[in-house]
Amino acid sequence: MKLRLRRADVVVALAIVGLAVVAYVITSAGGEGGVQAIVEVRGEVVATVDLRQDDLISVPLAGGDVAMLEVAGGRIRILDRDICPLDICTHTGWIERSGQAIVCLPNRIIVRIVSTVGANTDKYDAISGQ
Amino acid sequence: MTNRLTRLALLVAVALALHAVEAALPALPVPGARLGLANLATLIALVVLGSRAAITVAVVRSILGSAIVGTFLAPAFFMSLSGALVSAIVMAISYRLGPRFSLVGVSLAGALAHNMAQLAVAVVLIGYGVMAYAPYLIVFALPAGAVTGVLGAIVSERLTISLPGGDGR
Repeated sequence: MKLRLRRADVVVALAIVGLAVVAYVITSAGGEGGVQAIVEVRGEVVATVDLRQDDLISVPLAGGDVAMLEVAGGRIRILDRDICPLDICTHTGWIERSGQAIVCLPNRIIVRIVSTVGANTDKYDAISGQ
Repeated sequence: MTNRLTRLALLVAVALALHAVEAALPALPVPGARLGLANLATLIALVVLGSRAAITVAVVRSILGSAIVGTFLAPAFFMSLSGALVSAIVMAISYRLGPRFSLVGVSLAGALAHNMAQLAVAVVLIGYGVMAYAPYLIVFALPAGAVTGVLGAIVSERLTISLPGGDGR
């Protein structure tokens, strides 16, 4: 077995790690607790959810089915209602930080948490001397 | 010619079997992440039969495989097809770049291309929110590509002894 790594192999491996780090930095920018979740179905925003308020939200799906979202303690999750074969979305569990997302591919649902500027600024009156 | 067609069909059959096995494995924590075992057949086709055969195996496997698994024309199918096609092309190019790449590097490049293509299609089909998975999906190309590459190197070395035609790299 002549399985020796060549230089280009190492370059590709490093490129993968580098890209992953860049993607992580970009997607988790402002990764503190988010206050709003955006629910998209088939690319359209169907609901904007305030995570500071516990709630149960039903999201109508294409087949007449309904996905249930639970909001509690600043977190959100998709409840298990057998709306998709693999239940990856319900297994994702709770998400709470901005940049996190739950994706249900079969139903094309995305729940993602965003940090809204307006929501964060109420912690400060003004920021100076940057 | 018949010989070549037979080998191509054989590799498609192997790819289909791996595709079905992989679909039956439990889902990984990152949605859409796969070990890419079926890509092994693409890699071997590349070594033994060349670039066009590799792309053929990837595309035919993706179409027939989704029919077997039951995702044909579902969003997952388009993600699978685009991933398979783009990764086969990238693997063919990097394989042709010569001895700077071992099969592990070829496979790593293919895995990365596969996941990026899937991500791009997912953004179009589902929305920009899937980008939240980008770092995990990208970094997963490392173990997935390495495993497929090492297996590919082992298998193709033995295959080229019994099936002359490749250069055995």
